[in-house]
Amino acid sequence: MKAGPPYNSEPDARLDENDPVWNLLARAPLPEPDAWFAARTLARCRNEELGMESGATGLGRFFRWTRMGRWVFGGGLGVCLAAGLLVAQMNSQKADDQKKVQEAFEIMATMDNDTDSSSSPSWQDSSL
Amino acid sequence: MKKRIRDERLTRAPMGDSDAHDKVLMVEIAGGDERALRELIEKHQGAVYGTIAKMLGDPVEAQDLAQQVFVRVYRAAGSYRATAQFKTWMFTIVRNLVFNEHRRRSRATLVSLHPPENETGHPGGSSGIDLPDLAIKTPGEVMLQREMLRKVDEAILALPEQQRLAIVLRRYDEFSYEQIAEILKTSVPATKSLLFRARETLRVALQDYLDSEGGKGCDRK
Repeated sequence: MKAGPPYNSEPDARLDENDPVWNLLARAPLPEPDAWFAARTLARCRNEELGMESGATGLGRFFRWTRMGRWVFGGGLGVCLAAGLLVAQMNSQKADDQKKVQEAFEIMATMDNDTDSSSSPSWQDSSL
Repeated sequence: MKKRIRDERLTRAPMGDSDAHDKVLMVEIAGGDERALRELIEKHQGAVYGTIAKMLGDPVEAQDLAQQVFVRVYRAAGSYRATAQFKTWMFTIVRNLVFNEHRRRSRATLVSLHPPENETGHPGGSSGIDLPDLAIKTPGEVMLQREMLRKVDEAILALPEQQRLAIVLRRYDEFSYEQIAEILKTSVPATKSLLFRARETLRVALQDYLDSEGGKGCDRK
């Protein structure tokens, strides 16, 4: 069985105080920042703020326009596609109509031929 | 209106209540009060910088990361909601930045610009952290003491990152188990387990010093 921490043996704080490792660690305290740390950090915060503001006027504006441009581009593309589809549909309908007319003319032409061949005059019939 | 809310909070928060005061400072920072930001930095810089320096063993990097922590606190002041203790929330930022730095370091092959430990001539050791002035008379004792501090720092640096942060938060920043669990995003039993394993590892690594001390100096905190 894996050894675990002695949860309920004694209060945690007392456990810390009685542990020699704990006391040894206390001999190596946390290092302190230098005297100018706060001033430098404040300056950095100010710079970051300025950076964010300039970003809002420069890059931010660009991205805002890009976002708007995306909508405009998308909308335009949609309209073009719809118009293209409409035109294509109209063209295909026109072609169908033309085909039908052509077929009708062809049928009429064949009918004329049939009529011409079957309507020979009776006096030319040699069987009589 | 904002000023009135701030004033109300200030009157409600007793001066002794550190967390409430931090939250008041955050409200003031959100309102653009630079004095409040300075106060917050000065109040927490020791804990934040010290923790990061202990975690990384690199004072230059620690300074940069500690500044980044305060920049993030400053940026988040407007959207900050006082749901948890301020210090716990701030140390969650510390944790994220330190662990990110560890990941970055593990990805990159770093070539140290610092001279090797034996060539420095600086008795502060490989970590480069300024050690406290030791009130011990003889140079031999000073050397031994510094050597011990260096070994302690090295033993802490050799711990896995979760255990290391748990031990630093518990030992040096005196966080409760619940707070450490919140910072490490884990449960309280898991935190206790982390601390137990860290202590056992340190006990083995620092066995020589523990034996030689034999309880001597254990009264010092």
